[in-house]
Amino acid sequence: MTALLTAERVTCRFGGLVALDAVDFHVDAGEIVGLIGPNGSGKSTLLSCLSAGRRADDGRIRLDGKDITGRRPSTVARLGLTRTFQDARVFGELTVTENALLSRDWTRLPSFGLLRSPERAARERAAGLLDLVGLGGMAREKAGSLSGGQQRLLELVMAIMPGPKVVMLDEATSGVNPALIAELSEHLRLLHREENVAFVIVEHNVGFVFGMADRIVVLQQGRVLAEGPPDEVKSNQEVIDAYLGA
Amino acid sequence: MSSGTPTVSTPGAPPPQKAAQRLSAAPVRALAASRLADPRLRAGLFAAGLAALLVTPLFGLNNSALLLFSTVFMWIGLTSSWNIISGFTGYVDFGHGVFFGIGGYTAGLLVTHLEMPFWYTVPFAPVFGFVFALVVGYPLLRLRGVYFSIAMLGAFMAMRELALVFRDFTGGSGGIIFEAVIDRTLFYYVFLGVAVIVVLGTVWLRRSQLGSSMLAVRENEIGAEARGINTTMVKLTAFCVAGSITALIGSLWAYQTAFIDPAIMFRDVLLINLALMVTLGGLGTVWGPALGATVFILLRETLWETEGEDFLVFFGVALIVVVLTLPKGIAGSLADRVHLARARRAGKEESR
Repeated sequence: MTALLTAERVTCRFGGLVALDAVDFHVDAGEIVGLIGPNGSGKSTLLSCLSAGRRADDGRIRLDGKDITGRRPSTVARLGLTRTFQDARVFGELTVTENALLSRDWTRLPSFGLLRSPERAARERAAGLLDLVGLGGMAREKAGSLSGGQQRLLELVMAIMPGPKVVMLDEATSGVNPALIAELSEHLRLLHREENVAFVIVEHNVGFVFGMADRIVVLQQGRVLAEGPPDEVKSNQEVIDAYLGA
Repeated sequence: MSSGTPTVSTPGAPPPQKAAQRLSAAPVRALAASRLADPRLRAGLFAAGLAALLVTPLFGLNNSALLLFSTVFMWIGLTSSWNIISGFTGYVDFGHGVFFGIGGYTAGLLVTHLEMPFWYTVPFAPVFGFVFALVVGYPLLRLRGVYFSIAMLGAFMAMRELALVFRDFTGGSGGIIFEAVIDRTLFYYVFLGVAVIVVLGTVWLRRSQLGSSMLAVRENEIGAEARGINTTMVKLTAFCVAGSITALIGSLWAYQTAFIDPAIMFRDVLLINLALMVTLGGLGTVWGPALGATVFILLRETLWETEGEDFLVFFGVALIVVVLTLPKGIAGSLADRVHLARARRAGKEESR
């Protein structure tokens, strides 16, 4: 089976520092991949390269067979690879619903009457997803008035809205009240099941990511240190030494 | 502004006491503000105001009153179009007067060189404004913040110099004289039409996907791009729309004035006035620019009569006071109040 998202020998340098050193990475359809590693190991850089936020210095990235290397971030998002940010990037001046609807395609001409159904479908989908993560009651509020945890949930909805194939979550649990982390993983499981979307989860919360992921990839100093099912990685001596600790 | 963690635990449940709250004794001001939130009331107010403006000239206004009205309408059109690029997308254009000049010169050059009747030239002004915005915007909209503003100021000054230097073509500092049409009522309706179309267009824009995308670009361009928004397209669209409307208004104003030269078509004061009016009314709001333009022109006329040239001093002080007390402008602060009233009505006091 060919992977849905593949990165071949992706290299990224910041001046003299090699942040990613010929990293190979792949995600299969419907899979949940946990991406862990110490600070500065290149997790967020890999995410940025995959989502085209940063241009890789070398390597190829393919999504569903299509070469997306060097494309615009918005094009990559429309092709089915979306992401969230460490600092949840919701748009505070827009309402919660407007935020959720942002990924609609505005270049399509406004349609009237009977042709209006795509618009209605988008609104219904947004309402459904907002209900799913418990933000339904706040649809008309400005996103800026939401709490940090709620903004993360909203950003998750925004990433899911266009019906992507892969969603990458950068530090999904940071800033989320510990009591709500269980709830968040419940939402993610539900979305994973309902949308049949693959997730890449960059996380420092080891308990959370080992509980969610089908496969764990460990990065260290810009290279893949280990890769495999959570149990296997957990008992890998190199990983314990480099990251997990005794 | 995050309201803290405690509200997170019950995110899905809307407070049930909405109807009861509505009957409670809310402060009068908040109540009046919350009424303004009713779209039907706003549409009704707009229609009534428009009807009044449509019949006003029938009651025999003198020429100076007609000119004052059409000046207000013209500035409503200019400020509202400037607001699309500077307010909605946050790319503050300090050289926007360049489009006003391009509009005036498009009309002037077509009339003199091709001997076109003026009204035939009207469609060309927005087209030339659009093309100029496209050519200049594509490289310049990559610049952020103050760099874009300064670059546009440069474009403005460069075009003024070109209009001066190519005197065989543009008439240089001698300018171009039109055949005068002294019909104040005509221009009253022309500028009223432009103002209404631009303001209604802004209302539509704010609710549309394109408008949301512009606001997203203003708040966080990288985040907007990650949501699948082609930010280059959004910025260029905003800039081209704003530029072509301003060019159209420039050509109409040139015809009303019956004379153009580089000093009046590319005047610095237009840039300053745009920024002042929109800041006063509320940058990035729907009604702010129109409100700011109206208040500014009426205040200016009043102060001009009583204080003469010194009015600028009063004006400067007034503007400082407005910026300090209402940082979001008149419309922005009013909108906040409406939002607050709506939140109160929904029983949100506890969570604040």
